[in-house]
Amino acid sequence: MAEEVSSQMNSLSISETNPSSSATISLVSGDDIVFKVEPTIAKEMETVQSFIDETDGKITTIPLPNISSHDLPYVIEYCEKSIAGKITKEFEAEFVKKLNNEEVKELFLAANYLNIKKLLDFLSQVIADRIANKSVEYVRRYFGIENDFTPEEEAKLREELAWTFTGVDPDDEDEN
Amino acid sequence: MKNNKSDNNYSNDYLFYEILVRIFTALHVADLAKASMVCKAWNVASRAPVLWKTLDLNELGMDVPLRLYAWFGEHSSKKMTQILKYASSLGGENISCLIFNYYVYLTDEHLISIAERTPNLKRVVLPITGNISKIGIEIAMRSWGGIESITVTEMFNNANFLNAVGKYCKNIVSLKFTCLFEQYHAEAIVNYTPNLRTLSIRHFLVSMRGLCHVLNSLEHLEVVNLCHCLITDLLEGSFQDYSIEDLRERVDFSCELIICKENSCLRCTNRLRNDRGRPSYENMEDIWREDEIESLAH
Repeated sequence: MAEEVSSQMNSLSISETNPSSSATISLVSGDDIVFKVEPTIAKEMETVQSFIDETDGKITTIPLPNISSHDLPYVIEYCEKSIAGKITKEFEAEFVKKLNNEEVKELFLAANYLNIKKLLDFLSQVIADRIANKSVEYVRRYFGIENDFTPEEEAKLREELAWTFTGVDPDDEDEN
Repeated sequence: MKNNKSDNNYSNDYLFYEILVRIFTALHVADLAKASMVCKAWNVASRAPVLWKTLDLNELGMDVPLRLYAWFGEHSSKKMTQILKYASSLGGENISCLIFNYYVYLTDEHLISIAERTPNLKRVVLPITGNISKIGIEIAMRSWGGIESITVTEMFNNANFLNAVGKYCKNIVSLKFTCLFEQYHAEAIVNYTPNLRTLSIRHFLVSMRGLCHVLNSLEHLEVVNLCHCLITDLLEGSFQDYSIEDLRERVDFSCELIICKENSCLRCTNRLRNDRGRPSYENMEDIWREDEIESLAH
């Protein structure tokens, strides 16, 4: 469903057609791949919907510079299921099975950018599940975060948090 | 297709405050505490007020043995104190509802540690087992002077507790008793909680005289939950049981009564056969959690 477009497509194309017609919407990923979707999908993506509303529906090509062509199909898949009312536990379990840690984070940021509430809630839980019962070091590695506490601050926190260091899962490096 | 967003390395300020808070809402207490030591940005986010409105110690994210008197030993008990201190250092003034762990044995040190750090508490659900001194209760209830709602359990079912509530907590509007309700409870709440609006005494033995006193005297009462209760009084050495109709005949009251279908209620039938309004601990956790009054369920 993706088609390559030339770089001048980066500028917005303004449709002259009647806004009430059900023309498809083109979502353009950060790496300039166009995804054509049904206009109803915008209802799930608040950021896209408000973009359309602000221009009275005249704009049907929407650039999404923060979202890659790798992530966008996942987002579209989830939204289409959501519109069809087919988000089930089974679907979500299958959906998340396909994603590695890096992709979960990317999708979370995409969902945040597009303001897709259901997907955000779902991915929050997925991330929470993946860092639950893991060590602080694991979480830092998972998110690529640098420890910016001073050694003194770190030592104090370790003392106060001694109770969390018992019964932690061994770090599971194979997950990625 | 390769992801080409090479600039997307999750540096400390990349995951914004709101995003972190959204993820943190799905974490248990222990994982949230660990998140607070990941980096400074995470530490700030882990203190977000929205994360701490309710501190439910049944959601620790740690292995607590599912039996009463859990963590009775000194080492485990100290661990609980550390948890309470750290959680309240993150959430402290934002905690408005505190639900103790059903299984963990509560000590003075636990109670005082958390009470002194949660000055804005509005509702507390007390645990089933523990040993609290008179001084412990006094300090706790003094710290919780603004409290409005309490779930009382057998271990707090005593005059020290009720007196301390009367002395320090003038804003009580809602009480749930997960223990026997006798005449002296009725006298205490009539004296100490004159503004009571909601009362729940479900699934326990309730004194008929006490109930009449409450319904006659507490003029702000709006709703009383008596589901699965056994209303009774000791008369000349034997128990006389009463129906809701008996109660209506004796007292003229205007508040709403929540009752089960006495004659066809399976729970009541089983209870009368088995425990006569004195449920065993095995059955108590559900009774402690559930309530037909939504604000008293958790």
